[in-house]
Amino acid sequence: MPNGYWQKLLRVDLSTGARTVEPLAEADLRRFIGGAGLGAEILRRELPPKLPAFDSQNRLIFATGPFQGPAVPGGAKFSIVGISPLSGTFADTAAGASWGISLKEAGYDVLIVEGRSVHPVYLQIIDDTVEIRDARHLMGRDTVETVDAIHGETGDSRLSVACIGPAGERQVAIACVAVDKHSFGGRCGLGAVMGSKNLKAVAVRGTRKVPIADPERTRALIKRFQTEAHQAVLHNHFRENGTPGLCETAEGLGDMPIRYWDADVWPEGAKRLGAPNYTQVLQAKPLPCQYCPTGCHRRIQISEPSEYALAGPGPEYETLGMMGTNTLIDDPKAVAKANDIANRLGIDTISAGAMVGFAMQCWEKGWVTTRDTDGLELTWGNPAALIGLVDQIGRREGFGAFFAEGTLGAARRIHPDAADTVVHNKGLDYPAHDPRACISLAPTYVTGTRGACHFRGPCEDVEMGGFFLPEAGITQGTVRFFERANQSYVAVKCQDLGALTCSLVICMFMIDGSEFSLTSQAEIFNAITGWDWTVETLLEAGERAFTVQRLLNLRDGYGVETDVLPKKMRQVAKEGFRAGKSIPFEELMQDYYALRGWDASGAPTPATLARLGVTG
Amino acid sequence: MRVKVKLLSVFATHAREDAEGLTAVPEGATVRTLAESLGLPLDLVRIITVNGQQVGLEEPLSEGDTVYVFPPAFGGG
Repeated sequence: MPNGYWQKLLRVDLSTGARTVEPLAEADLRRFIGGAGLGAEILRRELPPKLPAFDSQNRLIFATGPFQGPAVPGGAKFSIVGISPLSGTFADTAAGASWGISLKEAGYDVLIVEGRSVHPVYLQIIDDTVEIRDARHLMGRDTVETVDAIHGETGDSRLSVACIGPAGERQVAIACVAVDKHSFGGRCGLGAVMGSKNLKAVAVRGTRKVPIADPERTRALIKRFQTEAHQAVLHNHFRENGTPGLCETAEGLGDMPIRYWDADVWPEGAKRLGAPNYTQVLQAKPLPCQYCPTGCHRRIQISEPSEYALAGPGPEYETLGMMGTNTLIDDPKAVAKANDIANRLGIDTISAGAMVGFAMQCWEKGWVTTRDTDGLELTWGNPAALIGLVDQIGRREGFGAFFAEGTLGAARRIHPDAADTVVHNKGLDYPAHDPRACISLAPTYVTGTRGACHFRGPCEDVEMGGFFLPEAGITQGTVRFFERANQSYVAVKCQDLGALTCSLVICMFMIDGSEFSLTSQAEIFNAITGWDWTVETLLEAGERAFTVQRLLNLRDGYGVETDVLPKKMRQVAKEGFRAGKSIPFEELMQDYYALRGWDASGAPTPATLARLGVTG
Repeated sequence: MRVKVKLLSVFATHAREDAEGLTAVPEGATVRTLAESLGLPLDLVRIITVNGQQVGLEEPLSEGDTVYVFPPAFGGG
């Protein structure tokens, strides 16, 4: 019976050139749905523990779910899964544009790339034709030039292209995967894994429509949800302002990183960087992914000053936080320029901003001088330092090469005391949300299966009133700032939601900002698959996916001893909304482990595994 | 009485301050009274603080209070 899946997996071994199509069992799809959930289970089955990220055995799993067939709002997403060079364990990253839809149209649910090519190649997939093409001439090209070159030489501008830039080629540990020039699988360095395989790009196009269970109902639901979501984002200004609209609220509530997490308030900076100022100064317009009613990405244009001139995707909230307030730079044009360089070279803008903030802190402490930086003055608030260092990191050149293995790697080279100041979990730099403000982020970050991540558990937006999950009993007032009650429950449910979202695969901003509720998502899921799932079943699948990811973390050496806060998160603010407040971390973790059904070592108990139908 | 009202981002256009940066409200006013008088869309008012403490819409106001009304914070990605 049609269910929105081809039940087909395409496997390409770059060592041998073998290309095979394998069946995907419906039983696996009914347990893991797709995307990052299914990808984690594949990693668990196929890889040994503690595999180095750049080992040729490492997999790059490009995985879709049931939402990439019909035009589901927010469904233009896909997951990339593998072992991260930053953490040495499970990682997933999601991107948008049109790539996931194109893979589905080519007739596959999942692409697995393994092995290593002897020279640079790219994959071209058009329906049944899967070619491994020479990419030697593409080496050194940035993520925009690569797409243009592939479109040019194939004469096929309808190919959706996921590629790496120079950073991925040089295996910079924060290298991202760029999709169609404007969407980025940013976190965890899977672009470096692509580079280690000598894989420059995967270009895909298809001509098929995957059969679904109830096409008529699916069409009607899509129409309804598109309209509802579009109206919602017009009313709440999300379409008008995109994610930069968050800056002032986040700063006002103590959530935004300032001076590499050492300062507490900077309202003027947040106001200058955020929308509506951002929208006006950068002439920002919505830049939607395919089928998106929201259009949160920004297309910007800067004509002067000439050194910042550019036209293309603009920085998101996360980048404004990490490259802006985090470095005390309040010029949106300077941040936009650094963002553009990072995008083109192909590095994660969150980690890149963290690295610049960390480097500025090291400069201030005297741990780094112009002798190390070839004259680059890494002073707070210096746009030239931001732009110069981002460029060096992306090219793995000069002082930027210190950061090739991540912020922790750089810290170990810079000063004996520096590693203690790095703000990370599992080697992944914190994103632009502060757990000292939204304390449910504390258990979320330390147990984050890909490292510190707000987007695999967006509980900070629940705390700040952005969205709720009434189906799981989470409504306005379920948590209050700085109070322990229900915080770990919200963390757990948001993590399960995050894992579910990355399995379906759907954009998190459908539920978080566009009012496309989980109940509505369940309706459309059932219309596509023909399965009779409830919201509870969906969330349980999210919990199962999260648990399998946790099992990967555990076998790779993580556990209770690494479920800890970085030192800076113990610092208490002197001013602003979180002045005098500290995270009740031990209590939150006690609640969290109990809610998860984990033992004292941080492992799921046999009863928990049995409940979820997962083998230990 | 007068209170100090801080409206951020998309709420900023609703500000109605006097020359001293204060907003007049009637005696006995609550946050709801204030928000309604400023024309704020109540369905988008989620987080409110008075003098740094998180409160609800029915919180009574006093002379000299500092009131923050935050727009909803989605899009943290």
